[in-house]
Amino acid sequence: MLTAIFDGSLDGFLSVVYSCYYDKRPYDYVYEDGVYQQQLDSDYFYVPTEPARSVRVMEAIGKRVSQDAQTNVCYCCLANDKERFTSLLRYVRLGFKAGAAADNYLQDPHVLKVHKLVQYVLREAHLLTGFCRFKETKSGVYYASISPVNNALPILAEHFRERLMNQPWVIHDTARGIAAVYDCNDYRIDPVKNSPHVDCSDDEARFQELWRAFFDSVAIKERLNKDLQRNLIPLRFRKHVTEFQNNSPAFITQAPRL
Amino acid sequence: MYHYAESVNRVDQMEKLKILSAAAKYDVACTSSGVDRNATRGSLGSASACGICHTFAADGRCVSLLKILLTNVCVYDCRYCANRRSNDIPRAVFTPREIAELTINFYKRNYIEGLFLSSSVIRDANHTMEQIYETLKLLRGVYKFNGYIHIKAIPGADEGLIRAAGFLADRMSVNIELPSEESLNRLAPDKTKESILKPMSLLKKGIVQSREEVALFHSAPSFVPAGQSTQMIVGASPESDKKIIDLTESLYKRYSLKRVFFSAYTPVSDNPLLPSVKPPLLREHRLYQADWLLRFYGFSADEILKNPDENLSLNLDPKCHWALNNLNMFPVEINTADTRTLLRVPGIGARSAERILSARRVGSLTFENLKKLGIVLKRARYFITCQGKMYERISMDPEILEMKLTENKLGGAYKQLSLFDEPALLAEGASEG
Repeated sequence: MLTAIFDGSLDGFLSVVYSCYYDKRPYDYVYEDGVYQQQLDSDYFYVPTEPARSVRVMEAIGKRVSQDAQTNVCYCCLANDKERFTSLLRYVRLGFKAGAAADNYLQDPHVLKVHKLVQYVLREAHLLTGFCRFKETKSGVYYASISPVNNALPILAEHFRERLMNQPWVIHDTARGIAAVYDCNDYRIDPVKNSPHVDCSDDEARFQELWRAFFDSVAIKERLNKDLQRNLIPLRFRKHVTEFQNNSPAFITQAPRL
Repeated sequence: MYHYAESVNRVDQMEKLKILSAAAKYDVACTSSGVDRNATRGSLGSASACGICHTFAADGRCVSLLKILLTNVCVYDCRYCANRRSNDIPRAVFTPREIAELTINFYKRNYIEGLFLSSSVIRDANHTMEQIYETLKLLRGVYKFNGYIHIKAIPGADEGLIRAAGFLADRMSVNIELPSEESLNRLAPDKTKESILKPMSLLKKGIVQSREEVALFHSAPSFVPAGQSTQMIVGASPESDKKIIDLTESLYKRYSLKRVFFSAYTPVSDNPLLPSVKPPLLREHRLYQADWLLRFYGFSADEILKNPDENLSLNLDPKCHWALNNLNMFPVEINTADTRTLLRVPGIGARSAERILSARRVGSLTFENLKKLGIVLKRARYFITCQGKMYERISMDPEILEMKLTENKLGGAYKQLSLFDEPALLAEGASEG
């Protein structure tokens, strides 16, 4: 049994693919450094990340498998699943054999897993494009915090770079301790150690209040359906969402089940 | 413009927002889909074709747009409407600037995807439409707002005004309100069928014309790019579901609408002409399911329901209902059926069909495979075969199938069997499904 260990980045994973072919080591398992358990019957190899190699592998996937496969690899790396790289390597290797048809092999558990993870990542990121709430700070920078299951930050940053093009913003992933910082030009994703102190602008409280009032008054009381609401905006998102934070009226927070 | 103190303004604005959003909540449309528009330097926002839900209200409905009325002061007295002239409720009026300011500030905080602006008719139709147009001009021109805007075309307003507003909005809608002319006459004496259909056909003409122009000259301004929609109230008047579905189909065909929305009637008045019951939510849900069958599954209204007075079954979804009445077309072999046939299997939707089509290219599928692909077999298993095998031994008898399909539901299809009139029961079962 062969196990590859690497740094967990996309470039790192692509270097593993490179090593799989050029070092002739058909890895059975691929793990991020630090999130695996040593097995007795396996040989371990630490694969260093080499951007030059990863670029070549990415190009090869685009040419010999498909563009869809390229995006699948990118998104799957963002998922929160220990076994994802193992499945992803099998998926890429199948791709080099079967070409674009690799995505049809849904009976293959690894292909299916990659597809499911990609779907999960994209779905969560899509939800967050709606649920992400910015606060205006005194300095004019808009600050939002999120704590998604998967690493949705790169996808979100792409979305908001376009949408909120003319205002500087920060999206802080408190679960991973990283933040995307946009300066009206481009964004960077950097590690952030402490939770920053957010100093809200004078108008901020007023608009939050207005928004909460709006949110409460659009609900039709005869149709109250908390279960449906909870399915659609799960509780785990709510701690970052303005309208679910504190002073909401009683009928929003503790409604009877119908 | 505003000389009074900031604090007064604040309280005032809050009250206004409460009144005018509560008044707008019965408008169903909150979709922000149908148009893809990239952001540009110097303007705020973009639009995404798939639509983005920003939150979900306590009734489980999606909130993606700031849905408000310009005003709830109304000259009409429609009996089903909470804003009718004769109703004693607090009234308020927003100025275009107030709406623009709210929209921009909510948008910058990512609370909303855009604006949904409707209005009661204040003074007259033209004045109301003018105010809506002013708001749009302010948002698009002064604030450079590039997000989604849905507005109402006010029936009876000048054609030029509606057209001008249409070039600034993404979607426009005219509410058809009630599913038949008689009901309209009875419950909305100030409105006529013609006054509603006229702006609809005007919008349709504008959309078709603009599509042609944009095809010829890429830079031509686009008119209502996300199409027009409408909504009707269900349960306030006695029309059958069949009538509603027929009307829906003809609206899609004749006015090329993007969406028809249904709104379960919520009692807002104690007028004796109106029912005072709980909103018929399940009926509304079934109508939406039928609407989906019309738009995405290639069904026609006559396939969904046959008799003019028939209603959709509340126990079974419309597709199951159709399948039970057309059992001669089943079971369907998963490994060979074409897309159209797959889509007609109860429990298989567009996504499942797509997965099946892709997976069977590289191998024959079994029930185990289907489960792994995430195909829900709860309903589908009675109507399909995999490699010639059924999921379980079951007779293709509509009554038995109906019982199986409604097994775990309260008020299912269980019937007390009679010893004596069995032939009658069978005949009834076959027609009822």
